[in-house]
Amino acid sequence: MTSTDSRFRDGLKKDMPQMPAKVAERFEDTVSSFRCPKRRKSPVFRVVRMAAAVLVLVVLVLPNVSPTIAYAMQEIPVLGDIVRVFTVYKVDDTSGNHYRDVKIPQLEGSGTDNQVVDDINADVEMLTKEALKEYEALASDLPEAHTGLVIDYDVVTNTERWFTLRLMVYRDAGSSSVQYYFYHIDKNSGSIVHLSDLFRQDFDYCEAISGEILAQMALRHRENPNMVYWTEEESKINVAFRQIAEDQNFYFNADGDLVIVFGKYEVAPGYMGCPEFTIPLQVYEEGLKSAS
Amino acid sequence: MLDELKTAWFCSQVSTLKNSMYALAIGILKNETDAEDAIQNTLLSAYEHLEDLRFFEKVKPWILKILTRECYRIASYRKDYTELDDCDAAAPQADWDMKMSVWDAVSRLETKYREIIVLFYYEDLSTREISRILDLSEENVRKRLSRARSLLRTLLDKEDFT
Repeated sequence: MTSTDSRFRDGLKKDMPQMPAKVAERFEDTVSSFRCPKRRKSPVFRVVRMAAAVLVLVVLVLPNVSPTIAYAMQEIPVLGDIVRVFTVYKVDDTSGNHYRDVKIPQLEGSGTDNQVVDDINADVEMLTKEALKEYEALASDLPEAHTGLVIDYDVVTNTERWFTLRLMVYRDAGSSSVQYYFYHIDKNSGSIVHLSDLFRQDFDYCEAISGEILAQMALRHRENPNMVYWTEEESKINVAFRQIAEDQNFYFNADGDLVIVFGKYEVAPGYMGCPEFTIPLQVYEEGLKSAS
Repeated sequence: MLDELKTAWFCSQVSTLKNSMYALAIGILKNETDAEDAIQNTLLSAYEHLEDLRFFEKVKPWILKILTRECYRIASYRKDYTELDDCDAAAPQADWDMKMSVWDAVSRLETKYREIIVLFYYEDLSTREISRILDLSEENVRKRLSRARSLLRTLLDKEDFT
């Protein structure tokens, strides 16, 4: 930024008071006490846990989630003309070895022709049922193991033009992984949109966008060597990142900027999480299909 | 009763935020003992409200928001509430040979400028994240930042005699 800003930034990083040792010690003691709360081992508790597990299984066995049983309506956010989203199914079991915190969204369209909404709902249902089945099997095969499954969602974009639903699936069975699934509706055309749909055939959007991302990766690493991405220089065993996929995960943020999203381990080590990169308009503007 | 999994994840995240929390607490309270208390209260409050934190949400802005609240709560218990904004009139103009450090200058500003400076320059947070932590509109954050910048510049430039 400006030199004034750098001066402030560098100056503060140099003389900001650091946490004194004894305060740090007390901090860590408090945090440690969270990690090891006293466990209750009464038989009553165990029975309750079993009942919760049985309840989950019973609901799963039903072929179609019946609205009367499954509606766990918390809030119903009204999103605009086209779509409303609500949690249609909620599993909450945070006791015991198998942590489950699952909220499955369903979209509801307002018009009569809702093929788009049905398609998304079907896909979401398939993905989440698979994950649930997988983890129920794990829990029953290995009752003593610690597993975790968290499914959650949010509406990352809801402007006049775009609606984007983000589904997150967090799995933990030893090592953990996070996957994001994005569903985009172009409200103008009323259709589902993938990254490739945005650009004309004659424009190599993968190259343009990837070039920008590589530049940002290098910049971030320069500014903070702890941020590591698997670029040509950094990757050793792993395959270096060269280009985004044709239908890479993306969304338009509230400012209307294109954001590219990578999965955990996709372009960086696990501790880097799911990296996101905001792509300036000038990188891809010329290749956009004209707005219909 | 929280499961080990989410708790362990939260604990490892929060340990990395020690210095950030201290910087903000000192920025607002200017006092080590008060800062320590604010941080302890924040840890306990965060642990109690862990359900509010979604798994993929960033811990830092969430916990800094709680910390800001706790700092102001502690400040309100102080006998002299105006202590917070006291521009250290009693502080001696140290050695004229010694240049005032950036932090010295910052600590002479009002609380609302100090907290924004710590969050923007020390924590490198965006104006959007700052607006969420301090519960202000982004417009207000930008205005305060701009004002803080010019106040800080005036203070530091006064010291540059050479």
